[in-house]
Amino acid sequence: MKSRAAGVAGRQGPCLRARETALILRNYSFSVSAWESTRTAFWELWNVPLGAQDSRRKMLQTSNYSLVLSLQFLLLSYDLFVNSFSELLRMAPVIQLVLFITQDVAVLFNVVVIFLTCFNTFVFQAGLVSLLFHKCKGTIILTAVYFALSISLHVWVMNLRWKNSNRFVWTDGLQTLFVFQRLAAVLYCYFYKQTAVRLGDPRFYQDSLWLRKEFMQVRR
Amino acid sequence: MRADSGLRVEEDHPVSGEGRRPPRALPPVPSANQDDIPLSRPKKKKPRTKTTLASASLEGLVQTAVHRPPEGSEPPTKDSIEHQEAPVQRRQKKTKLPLELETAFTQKKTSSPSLLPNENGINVEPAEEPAIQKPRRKTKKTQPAELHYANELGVEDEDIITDEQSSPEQQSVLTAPTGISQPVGKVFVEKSRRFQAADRSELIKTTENIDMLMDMKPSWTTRDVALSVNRAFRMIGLFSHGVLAGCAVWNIVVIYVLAGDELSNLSNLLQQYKTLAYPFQSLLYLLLALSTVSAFDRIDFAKTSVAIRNFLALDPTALASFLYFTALILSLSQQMTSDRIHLYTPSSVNGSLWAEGVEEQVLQPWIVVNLVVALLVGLSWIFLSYRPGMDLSEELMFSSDVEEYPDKDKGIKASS
Repeated sequence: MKSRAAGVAGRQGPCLRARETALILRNYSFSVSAWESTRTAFWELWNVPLGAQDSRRKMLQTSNYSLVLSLQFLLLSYDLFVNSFSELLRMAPVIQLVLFITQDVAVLFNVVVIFLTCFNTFVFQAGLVSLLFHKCKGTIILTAVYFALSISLHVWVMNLRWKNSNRFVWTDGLQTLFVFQRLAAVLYCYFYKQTAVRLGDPRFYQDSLWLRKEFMQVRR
Repeated sequence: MRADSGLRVEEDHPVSGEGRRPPRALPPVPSANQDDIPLSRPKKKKPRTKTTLASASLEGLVQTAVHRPPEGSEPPTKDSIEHQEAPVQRRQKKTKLPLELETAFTQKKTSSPSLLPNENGINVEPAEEPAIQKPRRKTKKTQPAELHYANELGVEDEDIITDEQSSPEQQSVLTAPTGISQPVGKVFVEKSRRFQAADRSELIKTTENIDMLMDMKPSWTTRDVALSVNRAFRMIGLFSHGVLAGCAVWNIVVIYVLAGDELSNLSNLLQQYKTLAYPFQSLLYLLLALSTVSAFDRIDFAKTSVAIRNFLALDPTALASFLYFTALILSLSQQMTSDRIHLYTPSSVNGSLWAEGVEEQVLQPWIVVNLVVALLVGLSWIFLSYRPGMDLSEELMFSSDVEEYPDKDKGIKASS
């Protein structure tokens, strides 16, 4: 016990020196803790692991992307099919009703898929939502317009044909709406396909100089 | 006490990264300071347990109060601590360099002066910091570092302590959960949100193997998928151009044959063509939609400026897509008439849509529109067949991105 007390007394000198250090360290740790948090945030974004891990992720991404792309094309072809042949398949009003409902659901599903694809990109995860939105803006707006036109045409046609599906229902208004809806369908098909293919750009899924520059601009 | 609060802040948030930072900046420990280590060390142990740094005198008293049974005598402690201290700092020196490089850019933006006190603090008493940081480092620090830097896996074998019990006094009650920071033979890899120990040498082997695999496999990126899909669609489009042109020509020939000379036999046309009208209308829409999308693809319609420029330059592809779009509008506008033909019943039948005499009035424009559509479609097919391999969107899809890179490099250089 005595020897330990002596040891304590002997430590006084170094401990005082340690206290000085602690004071300096306090200043240091305050500034460092603030600085470190920003630095860590930066570090996460700017120094994404490259090399093996990155290429492995890309490999996974490719199979996922192929799957998503095939799903998108399947839904697009279903949309095109219904647009082309729904007028033919009107033996019973229910058939047309089911076709129309599934078509609208397919369009909604396509919108969800394109949004999910966007969320999956590295660009989005880095916080550059506006950049991504700028790329997909046309497609999203056109899809919304097409969806509205489709719904209104479907409601109108089903309303007229519900009692008798083989009735001549055409008026000038319906014909106009029909033309606009079908034209929008073609444009939607084109722009959606374009966006889906463009989202396969590997730049969206990895760190790059381009992305860093965009990020710096946003931070400013 | 202010010093205490400062340290506490640092200790309470080890995850934010500061736990890593201070030891990294350490210079090698001067040998003159070595004998201070055992004296200052117990003082640093206490803040970890109580999360405060008491004054030096209190420190000593508390230390006497807190029992440290395994600590038989002072000299062994000193030896063991020095033994552990050396490899830790060797390792810190290693990690320091890459991290300094990597933060070089961000330092310009953020407050770089924070580094200066760092240097000062170390110069005063470098041995202090490892003593503070040690307990946390094993659990928090080593893992992310080793995940992010493949080089970290290559820690020298001599640094690795295999004998866990080399310093029994460190495993006392005070240090219970943490232990000392030391490169160990394990690497902690995050799998399904948990860190799991993996053998270092195996991990190195697997990462090397993956590297080899990546090098050997032709990398099939998302870009390749996109390009192949684009090419496949172009082939479908090419096919549909031809089929559409053929169908339209066949359709107009059938109509004229059925209508007879000078459209004299319109009722015969209606009788015969009735079953064909609506299916053909649907098929025409399908093929026209495909062809239009394909033609738009070729001129890269989404880039409006390029498309307009090509159109004004009377580029055959741009013209063809315009013709396709016109044909589509014309064809769609005949939907009503097609349905009327589809529902044809002789005028004698009750409720017939076709009253006496309206046949020619309705059919005349319909036949003309069909003729125009056939001409437009045929013309577009010729235009597109002139250069079937041309696809602007494929050229512009990713090449424009490559062009952007030099500018971006310049921009970054200018900003830095």
